[in-house]
Amino acid sequence: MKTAVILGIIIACIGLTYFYPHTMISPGELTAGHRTLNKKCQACHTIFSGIPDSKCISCHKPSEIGRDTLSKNDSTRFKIPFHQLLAVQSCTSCHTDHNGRFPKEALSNFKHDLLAETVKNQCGSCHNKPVDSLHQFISASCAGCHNTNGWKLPAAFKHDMIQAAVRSNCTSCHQKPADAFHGVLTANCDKCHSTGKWVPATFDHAKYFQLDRNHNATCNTCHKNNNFATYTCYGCHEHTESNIIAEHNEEGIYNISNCASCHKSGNEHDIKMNGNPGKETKQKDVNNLNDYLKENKKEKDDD
Amino acid sequence: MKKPIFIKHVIPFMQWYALMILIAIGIDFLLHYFDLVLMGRYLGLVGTITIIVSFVYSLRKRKLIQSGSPKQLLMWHEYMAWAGSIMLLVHAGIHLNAWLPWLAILMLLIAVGSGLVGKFLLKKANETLKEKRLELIQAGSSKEEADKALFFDAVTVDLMKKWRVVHLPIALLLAVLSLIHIITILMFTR
Repeated sequence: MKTAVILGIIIACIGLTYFYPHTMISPGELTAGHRTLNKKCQACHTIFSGIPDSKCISCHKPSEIGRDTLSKNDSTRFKIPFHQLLAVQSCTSCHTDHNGRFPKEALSNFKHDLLAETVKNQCGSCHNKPVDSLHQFISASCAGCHNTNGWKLPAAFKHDMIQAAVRSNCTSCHQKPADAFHGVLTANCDKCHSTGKWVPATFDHAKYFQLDRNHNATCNTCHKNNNFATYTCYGCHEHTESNIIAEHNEEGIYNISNCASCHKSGNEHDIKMNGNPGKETKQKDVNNLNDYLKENKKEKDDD
Repeated sequence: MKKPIFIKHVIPFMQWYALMILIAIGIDFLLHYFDLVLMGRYLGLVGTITIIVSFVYSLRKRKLIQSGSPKQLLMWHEYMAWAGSIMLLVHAGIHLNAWLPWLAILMLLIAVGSGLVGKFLLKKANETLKEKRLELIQAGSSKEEADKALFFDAVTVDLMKKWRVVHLPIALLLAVLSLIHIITILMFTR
């Protein structure tokens, strides 16, 4: 009995498939244009051979595809009839008619490999160049950033491809960070950042003044209101303006407006003279102020 | 007091079954996310072969082959059929079109469920039922009183036994539907 039931179900399955193939095995409705072929599988399919391209081409001649629709091109969107440029005729590579009523839903990803070599690298012959601010400056080829597998890929954008005239004008593409630190900066971004990566920034404060353990302060201590165009050394208890003036005047140094031009760190023995410290001293290109002062004193004694 | 069989064995079984479906959904999502949907087509082939290979156990059980430890082969049958089922679920995806593949997937889910009943539930549930009955009798209950107290558990175990009976017929039906599916695919595609 059990065997008979199972056998009956199996026969029923085979029978249903044979008599109702559209319901049992069709993977979906055909597109609107092919609706009349919905239950005529062999109009397109050849048993055990799939869908020969010749059956499609017998109705849809590649030379005529797009002839009517693409005549509607306007100035904002231009498409070319690319079916004529295909190196390989393989209709089912892109068209999967069982996916739904609308032809666009019945398209799988277009494979650029089907195109002839002569047109494959001429992206602009089919695609419009994007009109955004980034792409208007691009001078090199699309393949530098994009490939034919997808437009939005983690491709390595290369700044070298931007026209040289605008390459250093970072804000033409990038927005200036809105934080307090960057807000007041006017200098070129490339002082700190490279085109390879935004982080880490390469700004080296020690180039201007070394922040040792005695000077491990917040930016605002020296750069008032986070204005990095100026600084002051009188922001802490150690350096009062009157003391500093008095100390320097003793040595005959009167121009002390730019501390960091001589003091590159908090080390009092590491003083580099880069300019004219005052009227009474001769300009010396020496690295150590102490040496300079000693020399200056000796000269005075000799006089 | 010991937990009822439904809570102790049936709920964990359902969790395991749900895990299989969740893994399939996860893989399907990843294939779509990474635009690798074509892999789903090949998973159908690999999944089918995996399940077919797992049936070596059935041959051994019916003495059609003589070599191999039945216990080991059963273990392989369970794991391979479970893994193959995940692949077939991914292969099927959620495409509400033809009836035949959907019937095949329905049979697959029933076959896996009935197989899991055998693996996870029936033996353990039987043991638990016996232990409970023995404890009640040792505590001074009569056999009738013990049976009355364990009525719900006994019904659960009986249902499991019936459920397991469908495993082979459903698997056979799955094989037939799969075969028709494969033949029609070969007939209509290249």
